Parts: sequence; C-alpha cells; structure tokens
Amino acid sequence: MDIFSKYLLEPVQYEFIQRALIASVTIGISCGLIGTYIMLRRMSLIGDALAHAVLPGVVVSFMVAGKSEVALFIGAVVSGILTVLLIGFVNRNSKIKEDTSIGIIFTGAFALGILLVSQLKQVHIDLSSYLFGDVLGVSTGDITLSMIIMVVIIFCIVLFYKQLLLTSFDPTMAMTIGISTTLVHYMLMTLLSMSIVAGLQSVGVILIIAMLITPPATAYLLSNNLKKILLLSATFGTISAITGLYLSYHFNFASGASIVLVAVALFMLAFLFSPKEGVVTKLFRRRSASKMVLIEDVIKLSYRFKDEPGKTELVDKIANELGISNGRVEAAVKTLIGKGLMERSNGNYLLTADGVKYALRLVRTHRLWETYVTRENVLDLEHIHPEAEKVEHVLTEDMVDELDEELGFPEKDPHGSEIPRK
Amino acid sequence: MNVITVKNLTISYHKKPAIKGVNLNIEPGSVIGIIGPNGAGKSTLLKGMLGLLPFDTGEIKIFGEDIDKSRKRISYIPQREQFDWDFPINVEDVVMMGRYAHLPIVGFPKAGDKAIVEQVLNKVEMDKYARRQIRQLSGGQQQRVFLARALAQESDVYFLDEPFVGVDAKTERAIFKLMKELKEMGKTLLVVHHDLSMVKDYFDKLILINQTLIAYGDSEKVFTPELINKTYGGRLTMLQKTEELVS
Repeated sequence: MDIFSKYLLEPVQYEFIQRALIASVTIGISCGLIGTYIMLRRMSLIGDALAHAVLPGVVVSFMVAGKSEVALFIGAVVSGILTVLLIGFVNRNSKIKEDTSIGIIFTGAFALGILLVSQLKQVHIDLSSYLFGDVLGVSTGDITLSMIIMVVIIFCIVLFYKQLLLTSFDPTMAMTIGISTTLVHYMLMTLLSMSIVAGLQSVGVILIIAMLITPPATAYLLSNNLKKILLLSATFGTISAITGLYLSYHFNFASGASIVLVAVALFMLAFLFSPKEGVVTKLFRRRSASKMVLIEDVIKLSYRFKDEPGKTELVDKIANELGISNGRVEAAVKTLIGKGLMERSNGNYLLTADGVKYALRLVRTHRLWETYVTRENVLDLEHIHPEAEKVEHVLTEDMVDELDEELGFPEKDPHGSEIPRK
Repeated sequence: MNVITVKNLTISYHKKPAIKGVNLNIEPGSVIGIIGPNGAGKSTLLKGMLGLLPFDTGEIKIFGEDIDKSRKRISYIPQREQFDWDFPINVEDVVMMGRYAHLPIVGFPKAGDKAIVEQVLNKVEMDKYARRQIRQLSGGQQQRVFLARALAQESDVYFLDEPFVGVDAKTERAIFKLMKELKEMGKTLLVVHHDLSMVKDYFDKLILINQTLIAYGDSEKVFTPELINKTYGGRLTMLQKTEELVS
C-alpha cells in the first residue's frame, strides 16, 4: 500500500472518520461565510464573546433534555442572542464602552457555564470536548444539525446579499433607503450563534473564533472581490478542518488546536506570499522595480544617443551616463533584446520600433510630469528633473493620460522641449 | 407643494440640543447650501431630515408625507472619510447600491439596473474605472463614484454632506455641473458646506444655522456680513450657557 492511500484513504473506511469529514466541511463553509462578514464589520471580539457565551445555554439544554441536538441548538442560540442583547443594554445605559461591556458579559456567561457543569452532578457532560473540540467524536445527530445550519447560512447570505453588503459597507445609506440595520445585525448574530453551534463539537468554544476570522482574513489578503472572498474563505476553512482532522487522527493531536494551526499556517502563507499584499512579494517587487528602472533608463538613453555618431560604443556611453558598470548595462540590453525592444545590427545595438515607442512614452511621462509640478508650484525648475526621473517609472498609462488632459494637452515642457504625443 | 417641511425641529445628543426649534419650507428646483461653523448642527439637520436621528420635538414631512413613505425619493451622499476604503468592493458595485432602494427585499439587480449603472458612470466619467477597487482611486474619483450612486437612485431630493472637501478641480467642476443639471430637471439639492468661498456661485439659497436657524432665503439676500457674523459669531448666547448648566 502506498503512502497516499495509507495516510489519506485508509482512515475513511471508519464511520467516525466519515462523520468527522462531513462535519469538517460543514463547519469550514459555515464559519468561513459568516466569518467574512464578522471580519468586514470588525466584530471579531463579539464573535469570540458569543462562542464563550453559548456554554451556559449548552449546559442548561443538557439538564433539561439530555443529549438532544435540537435542545442543544436552541440552548446555544438563545444564550448567544441573550448575550448580544445584554451587551447592547449595558452599552446603551452606561458610559461603559462596547469592548468593555463585551468583556464583562461574555466572561460572566462563560463562568456561569463552567459553574453549572461543575456543580450539577447529574449532568454528564464532557466539558473538555466542548472547550477544546473533538472532531473524531462527532455523532450522526451533530452532523444533521450542522448540515441544516450550513444550508440556512448559505440561503440567508444569498437571499440577503444586498442587505448584508450595504449595512456592512455603508450603514447610513442602508438606513436612508429603509433597511433596518438593527434587524440585519440580529440576523447576523443569530447566524453567528448557529455557526458556533456547528463548530462546537469539532473545534471547541475557545478556538472557534479562529475558524470565524482566520480563513476570511486569509481570503481578504488574496482578493478584492467580496464574492471571491466568501468562496475562498469557505475553501480555506474546509481545507483547515480536513487537514486538522487527519493530523488529529494520525498523531492524536487535540482536534481544535490542529485545525486552527492549519488555518493559521495558511494565513501566514498568504501574509508572506500573496500576489498583491504579501510581505515577501513586496520585497521582490521592490527589487524587480529597481531592475525595471535600470531597463527603462537604458531604453531612454539608447533613444537619446541613437543619432549621435561617435567612436564610443552605446553601452559605454550609457554606463558613463548612469555611472554603473558596463556589465550591468549589457545585462539590461540582453533583457531588452529578449523582449524585442532592441536588436543588434552591424555590431551595434539599436532600438526596434517597439523600443522607440516605449522610449517616447517615457519621455512623454517625464515631460508631462515636469510641466505639471511646475504649474502646481510644487518644485522649482532646478529640482524637477531628478524628481521626474523617478516618477516616469511609476506612473501608469491611465495616470499619464489624465495628467495630459488636466494640463490641457501642452506641447512643450518647462525646459522648452517638445512633449511627444501619444 | 413643498419638498420638505420642517416644523419646530429639536435634536439632542446626550441631552444637549444640537439644533433647536428649526422651521423650514423647502421648495423644489433649487440648490440649497447649509452653512454654519463647526459644531453648528449642519450635519445634524441633514441627518434629521433624512430620518436618521430621533428628534425631541418637531415634525418633518417630505413631499407632504412621513419620511418612511418617501425613502425612494431621497438620496444621500455621505462624507468621504466615513468609509473603509479597503472594503472589498469595486466602483460598479458601489454604484449598484443606488438601485437597491428600487429592488424587492430578496430581488437581484436586473439588466435595466445594470444599464442605469453604466449610464451614470459615463455621466461622471468613471466608466473606465468600473472594475477598480475603491482604494485605487483619487479622492476626486471616489467622490464622483458616490455622486454616481446617488444618480442611480433616480430620486427627487439629494442630500450632500461636504461634497467639495478634498477633491480636485476636475471633480469640483463635475459636481457643480451635475448640481446645475439636476436643478434644471426640477430636483432639489441640500448641500452641507463649511467654507464661505464660492457660496454665491454654488447655491441659489442658503440655510444659515448655528444651533438655531439664523436665516433661510436667496443667497443674494441672505449672504450678508451681518447675518454671516451672526452665524459665525463665536460667543455663546446666555440661553445656550444656561442650557448647558441645567441639562
């Protein structure tokens, strides 16, 4: 048997693993979706609070109905909503600010839950599985419950997509067109309590907040599009849950902890290597940007020297002008030949037609920028050239066109040189 | 018929009145500036008229009806600084929000709504940037996006909160042109404005306010040194002082 089937497929034959897999998928999706809104609305703290505050509800439901998924669900959601109402009540009726009021109420509710568990001997409840999660102990009833929860969450997000979006982005406008921000808030809180119930058994109350905010945060680093973030977040949540489950099975790790650590590892990968935001990516981009500046300078100088007859080679002249070694210029020229912007003919380096176009664009940007800063009196004539040398490499074509329009399509720059037209 | 009727409006924050006993009758088809110093209650008046704040006393009618019945006829352009510009949303999605008031509770935008969005983006010359995330725009472009959103609402009354703050010359021209066009279409615009330059160019009428209504009327008549002094006069009246003590 190869390693793949030994580690990945073999466990699936056990029924408890199958249940755990289904639970992982539902919790990944439920928490990933709801968590996206929790993150965007900056409500991570209240998410954590709710996760702790469902405990007394869970215990009371055990006392009343024994191990019943329906009772558990009702108990958890009711105590979640009561907590939200209580936090709001304290907040509105005293000068206590919201974060403090959250801190007081949720720890109070959590403590009450622990007290109930420790005092009521007739309740046989495995506290540690609620605190730290035990994905391998998920029952069929748990699965049914968390699947229903997932379906409800997906439905609500699809049906009320615009209300959720508008109240998250611009609550004031939502109110002016008659959307009740309070109603949307309580809907979200109910869904949040539900997703916490779904994750209780697998991840536990202490770590469930990680499933609510870490996958959305990872997705947020990778995309600027809400729908994509929702999908990515659900995917990362699911991947974390399943990977965590396998780690838990093979190495006997606490399941909540291993699921969360996988989620955090994914976040760190995105944080370092995200194509747009990654810390390492930015480092590389800065390096390639300075390479880009060199290449563009070589193009511009080749254009300037193109009609200048002389004994010295083009490469020497450019190296002299820029104050760098011939080798670096040669390397840049090689890159340019590779890109079809330069060619070699009769032993001389020449710009191709595309290369000339590129050079003219740089000159245009440079001269428009000089015209702009002179007109705006930002810099005096002596200082504009070095500044424009930097700016010509970073302005996009859009911005240059805008600049041109703003200036009324000037013909000459402040030094009196002609500005090439597009 | 009056577009907006405000009767004896008083709104307080933490028991301190921000505006007090304001009466206004606003007729259609004009651009009205709301002028006053910082903390004079300009935004409070605007938000009060929009039905966003609970008021202590008074009554507001829009087109003779309660605000809740006229929500489709009003639109609001908030101050730019209140937004999270990193929000994962692009230009056309922001503008589409303008259509939400016309959609049923669980309805999705239709082709007609998309056409309107495209059209208003063209109008404010932002069609090129439809897919841009909103952080990647200049301040003026951001302001034009929110103008476009209000246009997409196709309403009759426009409330603008400080639209000229931090915008470039091109946007300032665009806003000014748009205000004129809307007025010619018989719309009513209420604009909170904090500085006194350009006041006469921008606005047909002015509401001068500093907690109480100082004056309301044609810009030519109301924009006088005496009334401006009265509006911006720094010292608290005896009435305001005693009110702070007893509240």
